Amino acid sequence: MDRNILFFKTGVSMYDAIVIGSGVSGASVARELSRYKLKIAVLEKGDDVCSGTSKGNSAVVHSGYDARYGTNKAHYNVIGNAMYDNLCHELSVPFVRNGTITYALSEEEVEKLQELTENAKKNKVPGVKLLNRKELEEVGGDFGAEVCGGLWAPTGGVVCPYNLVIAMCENAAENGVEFFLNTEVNHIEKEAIGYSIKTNRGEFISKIVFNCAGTHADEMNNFVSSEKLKIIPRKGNYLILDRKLSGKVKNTIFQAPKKLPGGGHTKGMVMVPTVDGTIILGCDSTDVDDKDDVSTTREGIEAVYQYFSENWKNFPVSREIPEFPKKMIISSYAGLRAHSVTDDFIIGEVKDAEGFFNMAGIESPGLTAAPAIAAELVSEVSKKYIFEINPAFNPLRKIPKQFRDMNDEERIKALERDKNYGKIICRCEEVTKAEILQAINSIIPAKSVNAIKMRTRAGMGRCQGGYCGPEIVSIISEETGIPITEITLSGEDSFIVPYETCIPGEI
Amino acid sequence: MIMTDVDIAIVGGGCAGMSAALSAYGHGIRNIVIFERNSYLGGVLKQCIHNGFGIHKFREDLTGTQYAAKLIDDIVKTDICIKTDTIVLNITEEKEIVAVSSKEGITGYRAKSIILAMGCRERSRGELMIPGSRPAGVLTAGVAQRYMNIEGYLVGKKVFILGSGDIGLIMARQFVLEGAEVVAIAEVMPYSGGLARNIVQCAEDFGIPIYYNTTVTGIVGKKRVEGVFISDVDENRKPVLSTERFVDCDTLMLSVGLIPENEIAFKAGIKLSEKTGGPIVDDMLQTDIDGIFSCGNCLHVHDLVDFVSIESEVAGKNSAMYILDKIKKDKKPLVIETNDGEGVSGTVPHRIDLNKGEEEVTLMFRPNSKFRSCTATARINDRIISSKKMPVAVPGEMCELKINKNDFGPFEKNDKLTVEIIP
Amino acid sequence: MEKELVCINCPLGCRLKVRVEGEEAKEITGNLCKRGIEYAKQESILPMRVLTANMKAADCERPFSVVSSKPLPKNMLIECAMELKKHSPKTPIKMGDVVIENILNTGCDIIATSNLPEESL
Repeated sequence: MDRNILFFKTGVSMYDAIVIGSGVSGASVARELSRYKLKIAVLEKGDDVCSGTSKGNSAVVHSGYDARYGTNKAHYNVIGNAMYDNLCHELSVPFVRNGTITYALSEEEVEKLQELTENAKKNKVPGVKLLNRKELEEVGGDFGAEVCGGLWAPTGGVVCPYNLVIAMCENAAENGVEFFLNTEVNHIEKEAIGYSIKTNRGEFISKIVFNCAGTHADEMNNFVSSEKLKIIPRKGNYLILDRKLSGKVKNTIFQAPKKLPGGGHTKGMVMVPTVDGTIILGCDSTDVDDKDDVSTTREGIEAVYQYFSENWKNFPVSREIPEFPKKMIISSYAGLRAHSVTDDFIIGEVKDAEGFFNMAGIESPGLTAAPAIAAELVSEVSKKYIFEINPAFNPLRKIPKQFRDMNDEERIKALERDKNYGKIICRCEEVTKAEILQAINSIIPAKSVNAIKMRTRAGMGRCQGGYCGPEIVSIISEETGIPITEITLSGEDSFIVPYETCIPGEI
Repeated sequence: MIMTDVDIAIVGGGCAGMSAALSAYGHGIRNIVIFERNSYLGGVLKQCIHNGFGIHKFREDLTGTQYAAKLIDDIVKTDICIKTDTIVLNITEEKEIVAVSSKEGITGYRAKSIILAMGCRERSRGELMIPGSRPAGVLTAGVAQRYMNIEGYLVGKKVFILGSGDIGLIMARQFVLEGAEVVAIAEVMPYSGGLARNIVQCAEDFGIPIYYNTTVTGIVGKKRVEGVFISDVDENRKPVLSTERFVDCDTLMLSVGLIPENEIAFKAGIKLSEKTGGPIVDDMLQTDIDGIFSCGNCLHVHDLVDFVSIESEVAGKNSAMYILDKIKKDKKPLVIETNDGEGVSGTVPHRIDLNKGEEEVTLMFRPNSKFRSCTATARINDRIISSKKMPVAVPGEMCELKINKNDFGPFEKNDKLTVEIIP
Repeated sequence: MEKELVCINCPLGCRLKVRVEGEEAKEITGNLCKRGIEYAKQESILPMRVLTANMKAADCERPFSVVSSKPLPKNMLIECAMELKKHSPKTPIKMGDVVIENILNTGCDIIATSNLPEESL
């Protein structure tokens, strides 16, 4: 099946449908499209799928109480949330409905939560309740003394976003979708029938184009339409706490929403127990200029750090760990949200560009909503163009159980099958050589250290690749034949060890 | 799972593990197994090609590789069982061990005593929360050292170093000798955490500037490091952003501290010290679980491998005594806890049992700042039990103070043995 | 002239004070052992350093490590390190092997401090 994954190509290629971008939007659309008998291509400018906006967010599957009634965000959030159990089951992706709590520190904040409760009712979010202090304790544990109530949303959940997106892409690839990585769209031209997409790797032609380009979706739209879009990248910084705290935080806990100076509001800071046992703390919200710049900012990290230092006492985890555990911070990251100036998702066929479909402005709750948007959008498109059902479509993606999740018996069996399960490469996350090789040889091959990290968690633990980094570099080299000096962290020229030692010459 | 019975199981085949094994062997224990995750014994010594090892232990100036070879030579002369390429997944309070290797699969052991000798790991960028992008070319000194000395690769040609710890200094010299440029070393403290002689022969010798009271406040570069921002820090170690300036480099190497590796100790429920990051131990280096001992860098981070050897020999001997039932188990414990006083941080051991173990105890601790002509003392309330004059004491160099149990005299239940450095 | 030095003989790093008169070191204080005196004498006249580095063999990708048989003049360290790169002996290399004799006429031999290929333990 390796033929489907082309890292490099030139010349002209024709497709029935082309998807630009392989974040949660592009992946959802690609997978939905693969239900039909079509020749489909996904164009991704990164060296791996899921290398943009979808990679860095809070990992929350929102219940839908927050999105304003009547908006696309509200509509697709609630439908998307309901799809998650089945979707994650089909794709073998861990998903936990741990419930979301938004806590209030004042009567004023309780009022705000009251508004949200009403909004939730209109949005038809199941089970949302405004709880007083005592009820909150029963549901979510012992909050700090200043907490006077909270909003309980039982359908809120957590998923690993890149795990999900990679799974959707792999499933799409297994069902015949072709992925073109390192392929950046430079221009799109409207032709007599369909579109010509000019990339750094040649020209792609298709009658149907899905614009899932994240923070760049406005540029794609603006190539073909006179109805211009504007996407503003909105940055959020996050901290990650050690897996040692696993199990100590049950629910996803938000502060009460805060108004933003420029209008609208942000969900505010959140504490998220991830499916992998770590805890995410975030995030601030700042509009930025650079659509690809996911560097963390001092101000952002400090804002998160300060918030949780000061408010740690409000969270139930503080009963067991009284102080914000600074030493448990293992990493920080930033993500961009593709915020549309219209403050809502922009979905559907572009008025003056037939066959060009937008899925733009997909910011929070985009991770939750994208599967629902894609399902509806592709279904409509399939009716319009009368797609033929792909009888071979298999919604299931089966992956071997991870070594860290196995019991001793399963481990013994796995080792009988494959000796490489006996070689632990990443000590912190208990990732074996077998799993690294599976990632390298998967249908969308992982050939960089970060691509392997995203698929296996190797290097994500407390030592941050201190021990496994060099091991992984040599495994990639052995398995793919790429020289060590050309192995990258994340594609292009992100070489990890660019030079050999002991080369004669000047010092 | 079939369980194999052993007398002593040692987790880690670096200097600590080997030294402990040899010591226990010397005290008559024969059924010893060492688990080592790498394919070779020696641990981090194998990537330490520089000299300066062994002066205390062997009275010779050796490289790390030579020091390791001496221990390995001694080990192979014994019938100590070596399991390389083997990772210990779990240990339990009952001293059961589950290990895994490609060769033997999942294996179980039941030990009479366990010695923890897992060494330490390096603090990473993540813990420091340095803002900026996440390009290739940001790595710790130990990783750079491994690439250079074990694999034969150079991580960059224009290196900026954060932290003046020993590995960073050693690597600075190696970079220069390999033909790379070391732009500068930034140290957040007003003094170096490294050994004085490394500052001289690794930085000063090559004209590499050390900027004290300075830290990295930003990393720049999309795919590969293109430079870093550095800033002065105030007396609270907070960056003064008005002093922020850009430094051109292709690599940021971190040498910002070591952390005892105690994942399996943590999982086993062994009590760890907040200060040292290692297990809480008594003067026999026994953890709070009977028969489980800890030594070397996983107990507390050492500056010198010689002291790791010496300490681990104590753990090895006591593990043997434990098995041979010679540690006066039946005697009623008479325990006094140690306590960091003025000028001192991370005293080991954490408790001393006057009725057990050896009569002489070595207290190990770090000064928490720089001292000149000072006195280290151990006292119970106002009563000085032991003291020693020191011409210099710096945080980069661990101090020792010997103390004899016969000198303790009477003390109350809540009394503590306070260790301090007085100028 | 008075010089302050840090003795690098052992990790204690004694802070030495040396009074230098012409080409001779007089009055050395601060040393804890007699090696400090020798060091101060040498260091204030002609500093010497042990060279440790890697070399590669002609027939193996991995490096092996080497040390100079005794300290060589500090100002020749880099030159000697450069010289090492020009040599690529054949495997097997055993710890203790003399890889280069009398490097750049310093009177120092270059000696292997690791084995190539690596022994299994």
